Order: sequence, then C-alpha cells, then structure tokens
Amino acid sequence: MGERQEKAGFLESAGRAAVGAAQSLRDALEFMGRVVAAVACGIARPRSFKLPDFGAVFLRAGAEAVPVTLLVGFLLGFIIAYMSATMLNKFGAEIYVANLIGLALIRELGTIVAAIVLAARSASAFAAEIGTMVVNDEIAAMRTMGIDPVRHLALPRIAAGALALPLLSLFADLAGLFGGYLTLAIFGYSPRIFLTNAFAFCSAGDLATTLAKGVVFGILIAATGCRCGLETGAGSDAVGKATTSAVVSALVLFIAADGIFALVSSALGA
Amino acid sequence: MPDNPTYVIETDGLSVGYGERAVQRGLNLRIRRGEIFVLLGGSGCGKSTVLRTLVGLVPPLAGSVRILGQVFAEAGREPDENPALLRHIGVMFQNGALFGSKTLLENCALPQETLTARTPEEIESISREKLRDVGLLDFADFLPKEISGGMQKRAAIARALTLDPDILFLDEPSAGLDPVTSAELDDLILRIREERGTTIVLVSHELASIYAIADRAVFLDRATHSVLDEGAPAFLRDNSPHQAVRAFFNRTPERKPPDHA
Ligand SMILES: Nc1ncnc2c1ncn2[C@@H]1O[C@H](COP(=O)(O)OP(=O)(O)O)[C@@H](O)[C@H]1O
Ligand SMILES: [Mg+2]
Repeated sequence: MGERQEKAGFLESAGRAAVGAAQSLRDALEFMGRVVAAVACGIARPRSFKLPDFGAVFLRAGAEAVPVTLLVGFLLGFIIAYMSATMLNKFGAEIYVANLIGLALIRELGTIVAAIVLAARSASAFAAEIGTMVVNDEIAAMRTMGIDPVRHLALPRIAAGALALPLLSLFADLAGLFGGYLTLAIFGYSPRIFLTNAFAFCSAGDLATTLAKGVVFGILIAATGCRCGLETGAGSDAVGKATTSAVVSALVLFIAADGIFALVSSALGA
Repeated sequence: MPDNPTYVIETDGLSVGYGERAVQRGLNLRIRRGEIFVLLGGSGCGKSTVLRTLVGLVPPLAGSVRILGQVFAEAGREPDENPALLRHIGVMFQNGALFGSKTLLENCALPQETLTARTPEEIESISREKLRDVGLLDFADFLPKEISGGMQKRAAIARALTLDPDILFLDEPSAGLDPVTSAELDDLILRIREERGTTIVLVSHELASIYAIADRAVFLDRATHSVLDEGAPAFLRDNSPHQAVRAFFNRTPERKPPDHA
C-alpha cells in the first residue's frame, strides 16, 4: 500500500516534470518565433532597422570573455594532452597526442569551452539586465511606447552571441593547441611536427562545421538568457531565479543541440 | 478623430486580473476629456492592474476598453499594440520606470523616435522643452540613478509628455515623496491639464493630493472586487453610503501632511 502510494507519487512527480519540460520547450520555441518575426520585420524595412547597443553588448559578451576562454582552453588542452601523453608514451606513441588534441578541440571541445563561458558570463548577464528592467517596469514602459522588447533588447544580444561564440571557440582552439604543444615540448617534439600532426585529421570542413555550430549555439545561449530575463516574475528573488534558470537552460539546450549536431553529422557520414 | 467627443476612456463590463483570478470586475468607467480622474482604494485592491489594463499591458479578462472612441483592448483578443493609439497616451509607472542606461534626454527621445516622424533636431528640442517644464533641464545629461526619486518621477512625467498625449496615466505620482515635493507635483499636474487640456488618470493614496487635484474618483473595493462608489472626493467623504469609503477619506485630516514620511 505504502509502496504503491510511493509509486504514484513518483509517477506524479515524473509526470509533472515532463509537463514542465514540455512547457519550457514550448516557451522557448514561441520565443524563437518572436525573434524570427522581429528579424523578418527588420528585413522588410532594413532602413529603419537598428540594433541598439550591439557594439557594447558584443564587447562585453565577446571581447571581455577572451581571457577566461583562453585560460580554460589552455588548461583543457594541457591536461588532456598530458594525461594522454603519459599513457601513449608507454607505446612510444606520444606524438599522436597532437592528432588527438587537434581533432578533439576543433571538432568539439573548443566550441564547448566557449559555449560554457558564454552561458556562464553572458546568458546570466542578459537575464539579469533584462529581468531588472522587467521588475523596474521598464519593459512595460517600452511597450506603451510601441517598442518591441524582443527587437530592441533581445535581437542585439542574440546577434552579439551569434558572432561572439564562433570567435571565442577559435580562441579556445588556439589556447588548447598551445597547451597540447607544451606537453609535447616536454617530450622534445618541435612545434612544426606538432602542428603537422595536430591538423593531420582535420579538414576545412571541420572548421566550417565548428564555426556554424558556434553561430547556432551562440544564438541559442543568448536567446535563452534574454527569454529568461523577459519571463522574470514578481518578487525580490525573481531576478536571481531568472539568472539561474538562464544559465541552466542555456547549458541544457546547447548540449542537446550539440547532440543533435553529432547525430546529424554521423548520419550524413561526416 | 474621436467618435464620442465627451468620453476619452470608456470601459464596458471590464474585468481585470491575472490568469483566472479577477482582481476587479464589472468596471463601467466613463472618463471625460480634460478630467482629472483618480483610482482609489486600499493596497492590493487592483488600482495598478486597472491602470495597466487601460494602457493595454494586461489583457482584460472580460469586457473592453475604448480610448478616444476606438476599441483599444478587448477580452479574448490578442493585444495588437496599436501605435496609432499609443501615440495619444503617456504613462508614468509607479517608480518612474526610466531606462536606467540612458540619460534623461535619451529617455525623453525614445518614445518620439518610435512613435513620431519628428526629425532628430525636433526630438531634442521637444525633449529639452519637456524637461524644462518639469524643472529638470539642468539634469538632461544625468542618468536616472544620479538623481533623487522625486526627480525621477518628474522626469518620467516629462517623458510621458513628449508625445503631447491626450491622456496621461500616472501610477502613484506622489507616493514616497516628502510633502513639499508632493505638493509641487500636484501643481505640475494641474498646470499640465490647464495648459494642454490633457485628461489625467491617476492612482493616488495621498488624501491631500486627491482633494487638491481630483475632479472625480472611483473607489475600488478589495473585498467585493468591484467599484464601491464614484464621485467628487469631497462629496464621497461626506455623503458616501459606504462605510469603507468614508473611512478611507476620514483616516487622515484633510490637507494635513501625513505624519510619516
Ligand atoms: N504580475 C502579476 N501577476 C499576478 N498577480 C499580480 C501581478 N501584479 C499584481 N498582482 C496581484 O493583483 C492584486 C492587485 O495588485 P495591484 O493592482 O498592484 O494593486 P494596487 O496597485 O491597488 O496596490 C494583488 O493581489 C497582487 O498581488
Ligand atoms: Mg499599485
């Protein structure tokens, strides 16, 4: 009896969680619809189309994120290379660390590092900025002035995310490769041999895919930050909640999207 | 342009609230051109919600809102933000709601940039004129956080005036201000009506201010979710058959500043 109740409780909470997840997916899709509508509106009337604050947002989300991206990318490259090298060294095969690092960074890890940095630094900042404006009635004031908050607040941030993430992922790649090279330098390999091996398995197509993934993830992460900000509720803890949910949903969404990318590209035989 | 020149705002069977929950029901308001109309009632009775519904921010649960003779919001209809009508209203929110990252001048320019065809030169000169009207011309290049709360409210009024609106909505313009600043704000509101014939709809708690400026008031009751009484404030104070309304007016002696700041 007690066990059955427990099961019902479990089913019920699982059901609620599923409904909640479906709801937030629907919200996310609906928000993307509004973003697309705002973009279409801009394309229809390109002359009156402006992205206010785009430069400032891009500096904060992109340029100011370079140091931490370099640091994380470097550490990741160095650690992976060092751990693999100590093992491969037993077979005298440590030079293949360069191939491994090059492939992993350019195909996956560089983008992941940059995406985590963008979610942590900027999805949170966007949610907090816009959420504060909601609590302060600034968004309501905008609407009474006929200003669409999606177009004026979200679009510039999404554009900044779309541009910043691929660039940041290149920085992460470079830093990671440098970390990998330091490891091999310990084993006495020259930079030229390292680079030849690092790029041996990578094609221009890989780089293009990485950049495309960066654009898509940048849009997803920035849009999630903006959406959570605009959905901020009432109360003193509302902005904090919006910020937390922005970071969590941005991470979940981009990892899910990365999985879809992997499935599609393996289906396409890449 | 208006179909009915007498009433600039009409609501028919208007119910307001969030989700399923009605905060106020069955509002049939008739607000005349040039009138100063006050929404009264205890905290949480729905004054701000009514104001937000009138300006199209909260969709009505039932009934409709007509502004200048045109349907502006209606239950069951997506709020199509109607720029033609938005052009005729100005709103000041409870805490001013100035854009924190923009100077007062930029705050005043924004509604004109989206809703009018004015040139940048016209926009700047009109913004400065409105800031001068509220006594803040010297602060045009300040950010909202660099000026006091009372100044922020005045700046928000200046921003709402930049469109030369037919109707001005003010949510608690004098709340949290010292009595002197509050009296200055009353004078400003009266002057706006006098000079431009603007219709003013406001939410207020300050009895002194209500007696000084209101032509007519409606008392919203929290318990019954409906309008309890309607009329000139002094008339309501002395003649309302409702105990709750008389109690509201007799809580503080007339024209004396409240003893708490
Ligand atoms: N965004 C909202 N969502 C849900 N309920 C709200 C919201 N804003 C206000 N309320 C509720 O509606 C009621 C009326 O609020 P409000 O209109 O702000 O009252 P007043 O301005 O008269 O003090 C309150 O009970 C409040 O808790
Ligand atoms: Mg209120």
